[in-house]
Amino acid sequence: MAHPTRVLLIDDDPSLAITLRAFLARFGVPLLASHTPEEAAAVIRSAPPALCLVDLNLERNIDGYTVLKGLRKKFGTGLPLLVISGDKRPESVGRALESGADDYLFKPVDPLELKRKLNKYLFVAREPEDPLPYHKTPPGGLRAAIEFEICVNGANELGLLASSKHYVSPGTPVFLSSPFWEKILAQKEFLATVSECKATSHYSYQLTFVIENLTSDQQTMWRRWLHEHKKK
Amino acid sequence: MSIKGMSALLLDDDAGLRGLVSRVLENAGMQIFEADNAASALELIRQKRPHIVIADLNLRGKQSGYEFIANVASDPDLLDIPILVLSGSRDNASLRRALGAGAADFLTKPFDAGLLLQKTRKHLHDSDFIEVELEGSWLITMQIPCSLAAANQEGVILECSARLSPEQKVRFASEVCEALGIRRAFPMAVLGSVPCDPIGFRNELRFRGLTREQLAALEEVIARWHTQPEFS
Repeated sequence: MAHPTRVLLIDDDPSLAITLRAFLARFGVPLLASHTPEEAAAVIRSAPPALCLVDLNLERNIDGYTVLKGLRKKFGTGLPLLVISGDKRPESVGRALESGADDYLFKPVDPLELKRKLNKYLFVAREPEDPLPYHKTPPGGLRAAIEFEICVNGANELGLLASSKHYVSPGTPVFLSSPFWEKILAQKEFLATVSECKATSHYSYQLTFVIENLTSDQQTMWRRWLHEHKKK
Repeated sequence: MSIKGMSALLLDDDAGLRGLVSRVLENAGMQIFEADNAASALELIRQKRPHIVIADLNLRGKQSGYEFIANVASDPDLLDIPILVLSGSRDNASLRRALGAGAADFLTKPFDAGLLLQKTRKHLHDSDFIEVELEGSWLITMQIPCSLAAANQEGVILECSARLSPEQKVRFASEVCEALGIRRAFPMAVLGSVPCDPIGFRNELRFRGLTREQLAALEEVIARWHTQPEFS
């Protein structure tokens, strides 16, 4: 495949495009959106996608099946066509597949199911049974970071209490970011240190953080917020 | 209960800093005992039974701060006295070593009077110390710095002080992600984790889907390291 991996969505409702664009961006795959089959054909010619998602219920009396047949005829078997539709009747699925669709996804789109389809049509297939050897990074390793979500359920004058799916050693400096901070402390990201990590159940941990480098204004704001939310 | 009238033992070979810390705690109504070496500190603890101990890690004299902490923490008579570390070393390893030896908490220099008071209040269960149980909970993003130790076409090996739980999803950020066209963080699945020295844990993560050109970009990055593939 000479051109970069792109996904094209043909749907007259822009709401699905917003969700899909965000989902695909996580994997570095851009989404092109077109509202009509004519628009889609132009896009396919100028920027060929690796996968085409088609909504069957297009407005203006355009028949989704005819669109599928047209795309299949014009672009051959090289372009996978995936139907997204709220129509779950077996005869509709059958008709779509006969009209040239490779696969069928029901609305509302289940992200797990979509990921499975992307693995099949977009991402490089791998053999999980056959482990590959690793290449070591240059001496000293490369700087990197991992991030995941934690659930905050308590707070004190020093910082936060949160539950995590991963164990983090006490003494570890971390960055905590949340739009919530902006409301309380007028800053989005904070440096914090893990001061305690206790196992609460299998693969579940209670973390205690100390927020570092708060200005005295922020300390006052934090105390005020805590006072307002103090449990009676 | 208030910290007023309670006592603290201060172990630091820097007389200037002892004076500073003493003044802060005395202003809060505490009684202070001072020691400049581990042996006399241990003697004072047995004699005066302070409510809390604040100790430096790098001490002149025979015993280091770590040994002192271990001695106090392993003595059944002194077990209930919390030890707060006040140290100039900010690195992970020494903090973890101090907590591992039995310290309850740590403070780093430059010394912050407000934080010292808050932590002292916390460990002495002072009723002025605010703890809030939040109604409901909110998600925040935690980012942990780590070192990229190795990679192949399927995934990466990351060393950090967090032990990631298997089958969980995390996001990975490094210059490798930039090469794959992702500005922030790439979604990955955790395969497993084993303890390693000196950083803490060696985590194996797998990409959750790479497009053909992302795979080509990754291979290019790995080739630039000029390392031989090996199983790990």
